[in-house]
Parts: sequence; C-alpha cells; structure tokens
Amino acid sequence: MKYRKYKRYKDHNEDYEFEDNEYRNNTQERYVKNRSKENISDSRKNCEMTECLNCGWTLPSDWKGSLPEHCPNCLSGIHRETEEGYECGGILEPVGFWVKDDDKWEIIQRCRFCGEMRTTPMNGKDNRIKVLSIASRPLSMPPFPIERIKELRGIGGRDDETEGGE
Amino acid sequence: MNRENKKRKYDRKYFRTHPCTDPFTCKVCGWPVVPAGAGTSHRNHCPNCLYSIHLDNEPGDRGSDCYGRMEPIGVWVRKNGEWVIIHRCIICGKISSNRVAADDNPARLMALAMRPFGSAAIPREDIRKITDYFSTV
Repeated sequence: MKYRKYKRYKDHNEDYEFEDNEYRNNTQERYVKNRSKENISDSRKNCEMTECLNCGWTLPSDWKGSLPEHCPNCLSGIHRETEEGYECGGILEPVGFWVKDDDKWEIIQRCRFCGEMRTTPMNGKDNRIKVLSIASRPLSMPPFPIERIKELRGIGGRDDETEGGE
Repeated sequence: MNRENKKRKYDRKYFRTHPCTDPFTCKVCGWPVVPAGAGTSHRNHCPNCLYSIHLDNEPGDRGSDCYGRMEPIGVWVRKNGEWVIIHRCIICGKISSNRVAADDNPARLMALAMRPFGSAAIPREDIRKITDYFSTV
C-alpha cells in the first residue's frame, strides 16, 4: 500500500514535470518567435507578388527562385499587413536606400496609404536605373546651398577645421 | 504654468498635441541640444550625430519601453522638397522618420545622402553596360 502510494505519487510527479517542461518549451518558443525576426518573415511571406499594381509588371514564365517581395521593375510592393497585424492594402513606394554592408542594400519603402515604413533586401534582379534615380533624389534638391557647404560645415556640430578659423 | 505642469505630468496624451521643447543632452555623443534655432518644434535627434532615442511608438505617445538608440540610415525627400531623416532602432528594428532641423550638421546629412554612391552594390561595369545598352538602341 505504501509502495503503491509512493509509485502513484512518483508517476504523478513525473507527469507533472513532463507537462511543465513541455509548457516551458512551448512558451520559450513562442517568446523567441515573438522576439526574433521569424515573425517578420512570416508576415513577409504574404508580401510575395506575381504582378505589380503600380507599373503593371507581371511575373515572366522563366522566373527562377522564390517569388519577389517587391516589383523588380519599379521597386514598389503591396502593403498587405501592418506591423500590428491590421489589413492595409496600400502601395509601398521606394523612398530611399539603407547601406547595411557594402554588398547588402535594403530598400526603404513607405506606404502611400498609412505612411508606415519598412525595408526589403535588394537583389541583383532589381532595376539599376530606378535604384540610381532614387538614390540621387536627395542630392538633386538639397536643403542648403551646396556651393557654400564649406562655410556651413561648422554650424551643426564640432569640426576641427572650422574651430580655429573664425 | 502650474496647471500646465500638472497636465503634462498626468496626461498621457499630452505630447500628442503639444510639442516638447525641453533641452536635452545627446546620449550618444554628449552634445547639449537646445530647442532654439531648430526651425521646428518637433526635433527628436541630435544635430551633431543625428542619432535619436526610441521613446514613441506613435508620434507623441511616450509608449515604448525600448529606449534604444536609433541610428540614421537614410534620407528621403518629401513632395515639397524638404529632407526627412529615416531612423532605425538598433535594438528592435523599428523605423521612423523626422524632418531635418535647420541646425543639423550639413556634412553628416550629405554623408547620409551620398552613402549609396560610396559602396560597391552597383559596380561601375554595370553602369557602363547600361550606358552602352542605351547608346546602341
């Protein structure tokens, strides 16, 4: 009787431990999934597109590899879901570039409808002329006169060259 | 003023409707930042190093617990021709944008804008190929 009781207790304990471990693993997984970028990649699977609503590009029949996240012709995409998980449906237009490494660039896109920003990695299939035109857009309309930039250099921050030249 | 201070302390949505014009010290480079001379009352970044701090989820709600540094990753131009700095939080990866102020360091701004032209993602051979293609067709 004593033995049985003990055994039952032990079994129960083991079961309990097992459940506890399983529960902990699950919660850890969930936690990691929420924290890491898997979540973002899950929402990015929604972004795959076969035709562009902005310029009318369609997926050619000899396309190799995975479906693109943005149109390789005009670099815009479709904003299906916001970060909070709401539906949006606007067009993401490219506004700038982020140079992560020298080889890795990311396109910064902005939703026309809700104004949310997001980034997608650039690949070799993208339209080079469009890339150059977007990257040179800030240079074409600077907020300060470029021909006097040497005089402006010392205004905002410290500069060793202009400190003594007053 | 007393009433205003009280509102500011207890009203959570105070900064959604009122600009915050407090002087602050940059946590990245230690630059003392004053509201005067910005040309905008919604300055959120240091004029010297252009870094910002992740305080808001939506503009003006002090709702974020991240407090990470937000590094400037790029510049874009609005329709009316003014520049906007794009910030990205180095801890959680949130992207936000803010107008440039009048006293932002022009050299750093130009460096941000020129950054894509200084790297090798688009090699010169490719550009030569493009020019060749358009000159023949």
